[in-house]
Amino acid sequence: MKNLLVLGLVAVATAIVPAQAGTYTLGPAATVGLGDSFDMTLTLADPFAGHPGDAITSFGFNVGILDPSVVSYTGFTAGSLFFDATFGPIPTVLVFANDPGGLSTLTPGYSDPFIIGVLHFSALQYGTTGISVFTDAANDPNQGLYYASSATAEDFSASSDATVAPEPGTLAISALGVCALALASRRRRAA
Amino acid sequence: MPKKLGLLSVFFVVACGLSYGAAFTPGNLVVVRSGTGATLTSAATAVFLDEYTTAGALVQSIAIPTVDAAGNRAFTISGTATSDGSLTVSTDGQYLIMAGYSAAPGTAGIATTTSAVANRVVARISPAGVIDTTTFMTAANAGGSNTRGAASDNGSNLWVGGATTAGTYFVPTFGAVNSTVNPLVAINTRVVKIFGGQLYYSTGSGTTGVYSAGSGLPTSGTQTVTLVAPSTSPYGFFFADMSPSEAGLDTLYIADDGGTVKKFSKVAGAWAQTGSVAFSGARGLTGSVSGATVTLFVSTGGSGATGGGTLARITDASGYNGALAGSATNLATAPANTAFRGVAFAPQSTGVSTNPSATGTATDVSAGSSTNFSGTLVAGTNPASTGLAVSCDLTAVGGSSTFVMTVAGANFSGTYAVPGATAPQNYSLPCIVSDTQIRSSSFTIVLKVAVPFNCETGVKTSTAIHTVQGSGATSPITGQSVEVEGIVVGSFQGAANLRGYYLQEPDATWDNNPLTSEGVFVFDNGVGPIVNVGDRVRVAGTVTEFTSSGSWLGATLTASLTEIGAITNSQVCSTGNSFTRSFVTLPAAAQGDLERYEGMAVQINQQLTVTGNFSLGTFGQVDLAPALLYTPTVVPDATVGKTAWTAAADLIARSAIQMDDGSNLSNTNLFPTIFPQGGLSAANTLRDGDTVQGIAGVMDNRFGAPRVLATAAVTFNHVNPRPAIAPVLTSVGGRFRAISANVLNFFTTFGKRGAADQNEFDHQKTKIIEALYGMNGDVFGLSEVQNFANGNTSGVTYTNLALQSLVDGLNCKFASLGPLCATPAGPFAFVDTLPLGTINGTDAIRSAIIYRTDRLLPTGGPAIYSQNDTNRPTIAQTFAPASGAKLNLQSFTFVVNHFRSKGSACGGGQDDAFQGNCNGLRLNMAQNVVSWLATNPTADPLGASRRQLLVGDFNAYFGEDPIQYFKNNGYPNLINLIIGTNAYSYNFGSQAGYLDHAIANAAMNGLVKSVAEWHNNADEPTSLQATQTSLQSAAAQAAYYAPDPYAASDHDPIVIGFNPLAGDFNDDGVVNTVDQLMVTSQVGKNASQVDRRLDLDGDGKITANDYRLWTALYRTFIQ
Repeated sequence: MKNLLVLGLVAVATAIVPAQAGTYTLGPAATVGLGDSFDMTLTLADPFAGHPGDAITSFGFNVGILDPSVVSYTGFTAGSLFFDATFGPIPTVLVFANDPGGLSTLTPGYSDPFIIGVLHFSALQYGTTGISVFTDAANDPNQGLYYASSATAEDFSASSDATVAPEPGTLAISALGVCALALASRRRRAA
Repeated sequence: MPKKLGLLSVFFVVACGLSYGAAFTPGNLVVVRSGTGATLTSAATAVFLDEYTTAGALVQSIAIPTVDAAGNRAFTISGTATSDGSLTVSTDGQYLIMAGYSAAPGTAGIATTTSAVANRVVARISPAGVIDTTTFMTAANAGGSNTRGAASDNGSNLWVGGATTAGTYFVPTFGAVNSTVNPLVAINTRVVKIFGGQLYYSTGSGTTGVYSAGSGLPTSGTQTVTLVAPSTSPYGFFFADMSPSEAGLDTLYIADDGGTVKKFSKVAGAWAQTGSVAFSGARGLTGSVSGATVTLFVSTGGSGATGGGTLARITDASGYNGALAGSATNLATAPANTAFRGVAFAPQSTGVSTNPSATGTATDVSAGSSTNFSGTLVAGTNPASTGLAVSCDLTAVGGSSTFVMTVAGANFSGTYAVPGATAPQNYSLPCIVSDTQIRSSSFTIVLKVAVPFNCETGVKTSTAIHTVQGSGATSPITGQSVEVEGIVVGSFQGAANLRGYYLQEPDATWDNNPLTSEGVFVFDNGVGPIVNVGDRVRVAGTVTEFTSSGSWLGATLTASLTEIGAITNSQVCSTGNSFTRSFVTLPAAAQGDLERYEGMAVQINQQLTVTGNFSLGTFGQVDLAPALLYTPTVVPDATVGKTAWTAAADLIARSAIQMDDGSNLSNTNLFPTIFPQGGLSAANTLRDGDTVQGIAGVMDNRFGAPRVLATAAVTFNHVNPRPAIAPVLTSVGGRFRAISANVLNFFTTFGKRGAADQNEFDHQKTKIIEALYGMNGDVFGLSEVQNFANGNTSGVTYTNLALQSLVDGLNCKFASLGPLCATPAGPFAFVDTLPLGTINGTDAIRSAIIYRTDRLLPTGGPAIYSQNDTNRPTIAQTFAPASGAKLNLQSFTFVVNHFRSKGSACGGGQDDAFQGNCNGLRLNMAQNVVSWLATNPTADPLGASRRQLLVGDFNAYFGEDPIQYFKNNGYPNLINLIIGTNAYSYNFGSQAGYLDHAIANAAMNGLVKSVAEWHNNADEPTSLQATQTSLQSAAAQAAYYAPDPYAASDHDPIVIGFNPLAGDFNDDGVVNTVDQLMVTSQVGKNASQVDRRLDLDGDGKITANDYRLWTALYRTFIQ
């Protein structure tokens, strides 16, 4: 099981790493109890490395769950700098920068790193699964990261693990997720 | 001096002709006799003319002088040559003619002497017996061999025949020495004669026989000869005209010294022998004709020392083409040691006796009725006829063989009751006209005995209509007189209508061939009874093809309608008869396939669409098809043989049918029309696209078109109502509106290409302004505005008056005044191109630009491209919004075109079978306009990223070369992209299509929200337009006009909604977060589902990349 997950990540990384700028983080890794809901936050650090003075107009990506029998994806909440314009199944998520000129370092409320958004999941059965976000810009003009200056979107990916287990710690981790969600909600209202 | 002497000598000769005998008695025979009684040799021998009665009694002998005397020359012939001494009478009857040798008797071997030894000489003997031998030939080619005889028409023109080098020749001068002669046929000739004004000769050389030489009476040059009848050894011959029906001379007798007199007859132009009579050594021959009897006189003579000779008579009573048979009756023999040669009738000073003649006719008659004979007589002459009588043989029609006509002066007449049982056919009745001088001629009278003109009672006695029609496009029996009997399926009698009616063969006697129509038009032209649908009518008349030409589907075509015309009899047999209607479905299987229904009752049950109404107000016609027809070239055809266009044109030709009102009335006389129901008026139009279902009528074929004439009321469904402008504008949207419109030759100078007078002009202007103002445009590209002050082509002074009048009308409307107001006040203005000078072109019309000064402002001045041909110059002007941010980034260039029409040929390879006349010229213009625009002629401040919008009447459909050139060279076609296959702005030849285009370069294309055609014009009947009303009655003029925007022009205008401020999707003049949401909310949709401008990257989908592009626009225009 673990081996399979590693192999899967390697495959994805081989495809996308060369084009990826900045650092994407999906997390935290979670251990939750059966039936629990939990979140993972997608964060981008150092987004303008190699793109000085540019602006970001959108992120589009897919959410992958290695073992969909363990965990299901239930939704997405955009970060405070973005609004969710997801229109259908592909890509799973499409967010546009609130700033009509594109998100840049001059955009009010800009920080580095910034949260692209929070992904929501539900635990379905005991087990462990890899969770990832990934893109296929070559085949879908809505996927990837669009810099304002380039007609070619940049692919990106990030991954984490989730374990569903009947352990005492479950409650604590679960509470952490709820807190993260609450925090995200509060930020959005403040924007 | 010599000439004078010559004239004197002629006078001398004529005055001093010597008489050697008493006068001849007309009707007697004259035989040439050689020898005095001494034994005969080939030396020169004295000649005598022996006159005999036709019974063989010798009357006198006249010796021809053998010594020169008083200008006359000695005349001798060979004593033993059988071919010498032929004798003819001049065709005026007044002279005997011979030819011989001017040598003393005893001159040895006379026939072979040269001219130098013995001049050849002609002897002419008058009725009084005066002998004239003053005509002789010293020409070398006239000597050296036999000179045998001569012929003449008037005694002075002489044609001589013999074995000399000159053969048959013409003697240039009578009564004189001829040092040259005119050879005509260089052949060994025996006898030369003239019959019926034609020169003939017989020959024993080459293909022996009797020939004609040249045409008529040739006098010089080598002649073409034609063999009339072959004969082994022909000498004398005699022609007669025996048959009144065979043209010209038709009977020929030949004396052949092989031992027969042969008869030849000409039948249908071909000669063939018809019998013969044995007669040893037959050589001389003459004859006379009385009625059908020919009396021949034949002579022969010995070739030895003792001579000898016989004159005999042969009577041929076998008539024309009858076989000559029997035997000759001897009349006289030559004295000892003399020989007979030629024979002829004696000359007579009064001229030739002619027989009386006559011609006559008989009125057509049915058996049991009387015919009337009538005719005219020509009296015989020399002497004049007395006691003329005409007798006809009526045994063929049951009458006497000697039916006597009543003669009164130069006319005759008679009446005869044709017995009832006489078979109906044409009879040729033989008749004879005779006089108390015992002369006669035969002639015939043709009597047509017709079938009694009775309606049928069970037995068919008429010609079936399908026989009249045949299976082809035209009748196989055109020109024949026929009787037909059928049921009236449509009646259009009277001068106001088609002057006739349609008859259909009764159902019971139809044939089984679907290709033969069972109907026919009867062109009664006012003759005969009034008929109604359902009447059974019998008609006698002549089968005729009525051909007529007209414009059909854009071409001038000819149609041929089989009809019964020249009606001689007609009657209604019965009324209330039923008949079968044939069901017609379009498209037909093949072009011309509707011919099979010509004249028949038809029913069209399928729904048909009005596809053309050009002639509705002028001829009462509408053109129909299963659906609106589109010109083939509205789509491109890349195939080598243009197979797609060919197939499309074929389908059109099979699909269309014309519906006519059956009225002959047109133009000023045609009001109201019967289509649509209630009659055409401004308030009751009939538009292309409207439908009709269930037409009952008659199939007709005139003026190039297959036509249906409705025999029951036709109800149109107005499924294509006049479109209001408001929904059009709503659908187009956009921050600004550009209009492309044709203003129908808008001239303020009357009587030129536009309005004829003030009234037409006011109407035209009202309609144009209502249409233009209604479209609420910000900039207008107009075609057909008056160019020159005098209204002509190539005028001296350009004018803006017509253009100003349009601007005034718009400003009047803006001020809420009528379009013709006196105090216009508003924001409309025109772009003045006159400062650019002669580049405005030479046509009577030009293109123009009008714009709203409160909405748009010109950037710099206009520019014009002229190709210096019949393409109108293209004009361009760059504009920017009148207000807003960064206006230098909001400019656009508006380009108005009006290319050469397809109206007349350009020649020089510029014309195209599918794309019309002058296609090459238009393609050149397209290429040159593209090149010109590449130079940024208006100095558009956006430079390389400038936006260009081209409009106008390009006179080319989308699929044609000029428009494809634009499309393939960076100028997408907005009409094609946005409206697509249903687009049309014009109807020509009952086919819709768009000649008017909105074309944008790529930069402009993305700024256009939408495009629409306002179908206020192209679907409307032409008669509702404001101009060209002079052919309408006053009532029609009043009914057809309304101060509305419909039928304002012949082209539909185009409305283009656009926004030169890129990214401003809600067209509010700013690019802001509202526009941002308009993009992001549509991500994932296809461009065709949303505002097409959202697809900024042009990939057909709204994506994050379009949003990315929008953010750049936002940053550009952030305000």
